[in-house]
Amino acid sequence: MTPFGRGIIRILGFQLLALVSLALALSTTGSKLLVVLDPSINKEDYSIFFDDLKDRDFVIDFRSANDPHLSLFNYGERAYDHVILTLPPTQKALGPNLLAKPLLEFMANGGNVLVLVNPNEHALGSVREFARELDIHLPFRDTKLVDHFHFDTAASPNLHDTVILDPATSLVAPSILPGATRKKIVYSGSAFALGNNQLLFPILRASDTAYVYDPAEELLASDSPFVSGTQAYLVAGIQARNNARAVIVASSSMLSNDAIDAADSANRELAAGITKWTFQESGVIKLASVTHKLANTDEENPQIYRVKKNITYEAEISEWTGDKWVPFVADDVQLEFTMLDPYYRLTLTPVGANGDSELYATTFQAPDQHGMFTFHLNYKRTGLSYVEDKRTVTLRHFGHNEFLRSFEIPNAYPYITSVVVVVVAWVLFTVLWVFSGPEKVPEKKTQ
Amino acid sequence: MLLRNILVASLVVCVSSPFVSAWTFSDATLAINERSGTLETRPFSMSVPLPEIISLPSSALARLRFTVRSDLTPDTNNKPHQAYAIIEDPVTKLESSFPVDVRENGRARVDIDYKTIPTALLGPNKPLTVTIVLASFGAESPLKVEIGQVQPVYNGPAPAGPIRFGPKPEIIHIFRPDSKFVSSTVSLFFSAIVVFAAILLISSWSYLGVMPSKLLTALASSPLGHLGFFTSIVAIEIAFFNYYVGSTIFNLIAQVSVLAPIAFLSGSRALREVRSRRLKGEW
Repeated sequence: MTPFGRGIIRILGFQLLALVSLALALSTTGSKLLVVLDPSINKEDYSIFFDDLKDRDFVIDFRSANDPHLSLFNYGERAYDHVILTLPPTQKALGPNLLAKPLLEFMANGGNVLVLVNPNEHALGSVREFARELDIHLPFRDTKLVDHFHFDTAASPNLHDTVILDPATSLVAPSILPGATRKKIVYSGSAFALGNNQLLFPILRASDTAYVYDPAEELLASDSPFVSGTQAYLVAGIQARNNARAVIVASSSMLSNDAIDAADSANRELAAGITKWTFQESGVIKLASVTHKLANTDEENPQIYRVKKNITYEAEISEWTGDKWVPFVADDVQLEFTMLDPYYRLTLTPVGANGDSELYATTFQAPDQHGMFTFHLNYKRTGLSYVEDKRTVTLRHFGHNEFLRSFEIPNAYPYITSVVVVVVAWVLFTVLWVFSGPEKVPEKKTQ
Repeated sequence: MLLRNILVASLVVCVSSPFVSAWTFSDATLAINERSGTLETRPFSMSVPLPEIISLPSSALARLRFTVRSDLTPDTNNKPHQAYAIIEDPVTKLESSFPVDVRENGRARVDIDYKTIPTALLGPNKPLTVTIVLASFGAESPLKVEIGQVQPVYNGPAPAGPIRFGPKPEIIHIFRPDSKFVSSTVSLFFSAIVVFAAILLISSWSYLGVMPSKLLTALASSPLGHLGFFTSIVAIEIAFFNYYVGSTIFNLIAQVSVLAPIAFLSGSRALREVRSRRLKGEW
């Protein structure tokens, strides 16, 4: 199915404009973007961020959290492809449509969620619960990240809460900011802690001397920081097993015009990198094709192989660059040949580009064990779409006419010789028995 | 909260001064304490770190004591907002911070208890660097100084890391060993014995005087019977040989079903001729 196919069915109620831009979308999963924005938040403060999204062909639907018609679902189907959730400072709750459960259900249906936590307000219960489901633990209300070593001397000469981050050390996922940059990231807000979930995709962390403190509780000294040092994360994502993505940004202010316009700021590129990853524009790979066959033959994907035959397995993987699919080259793609346990786990060799995908191949000898085997390609890497493919084939044992012949086995030579000797001697014996007789007829003895 | 920020800011601003001031510490010692008492005490300072790696037994804690001094307010407040002792694994760059308890007179103390060190930092031969960070709001220069290395005593295998996506070790199937054969020399030797035995047998027949001397007589009296009998016997043997080499059982059945009646009919004629000779006494 094409990335656009499913979407087209779902947007029957949408405008023609949406239809057109859907076909042009840079995201692989669609362009319908819901932005939950509180009326008290001035959209103009984030105009660069939203304009950049519009330039990338997203059809943005701005809604207030207390909009009674706001729903992530339409007749049980996802109504949007992506959601940006900003936390309203004026309300205590986000309403029943944006509780943790509908948000998780939205992700379970393949939707992507970007949560921008407001630094000046406490995270709402539903968002905190949603984040906790993702193994991201939001800080207590009103906390602040400070760094007395790397701060903006102009913006916060005394409070040290406008932190300057060096992408070289703080960016955990370099793919988010492609290309080396000497620009810095301007940040003010709090920071959260991450759990140990392997699905997590940490993006940005604080420097080793930063810490989170609570101005209400720790006015004089930080005696029990919520998180500190490189364990304090500012941006982190998660990719669910269905490839739906969610990213939590600990402070929406890092995407504001002020932060983007700050001198030497890499925030605009970072914002683009974060939204591209969240909305399936970057880090997206797909399996273009899978074939397996007997080595040096042409028949593809047979249902049955014999034990100890050489099998060639080939897979093609493509990567989405934002406008086209290109070959995806990696040296750690592995194939497992499995019956209950893997009998083989082989690293596939990238053979070369085949059109818009990279061809990976390996040849191996089928195990000497018959049964139902599975070619299992399971390529899961942090920050990339998960790619998995299973093909089950039968591995049969030797046919009765496929074993070694007795004349090929040295042990059998005496037996074969014996059989030949018996046959020859028997024919000879028959000849002798039939045709033998005395040279002369013996004289009959007369009594 | 805003009020508190202003409070902090004003507090900081009122104590700021134009000269560059900094946080410092002195009179520093690191003691390894067990329940039974102090195992060892080492002095260190900002410029002279601990010369060697200090061992920290699993039942002990490392107690750092030092005196913090603020250049700005040495008489009234020597308490920085951030006073951490950070332990870091220099290889993995994982770290953990321990807030230092500082009094206003500058006396500072922090206990790095073995039990509170995260397992990710533990391991055999994994010394941890200890860094002291003193910093606060305002213009005072922060201090970050590495004071030495501590090795928590750890026996046994390194704790398993968290589960992460990544390539797994390769697996290559190990085949059962092929069946072993004797060398063909040995095999041919025994074959030769068999052939030799056959030759011995056949030559013993001629030694006894058994010769096909009546061949022409027999052929003359019953040519069809004898030729048919022997040809069909040899043909049946050839059919069996073909089957062994690769023909199918159906071919064999077809061939034998033709050859067997021939062998039967011609054989009975041939044997009748043999009987007539035997009755004449030409056994």
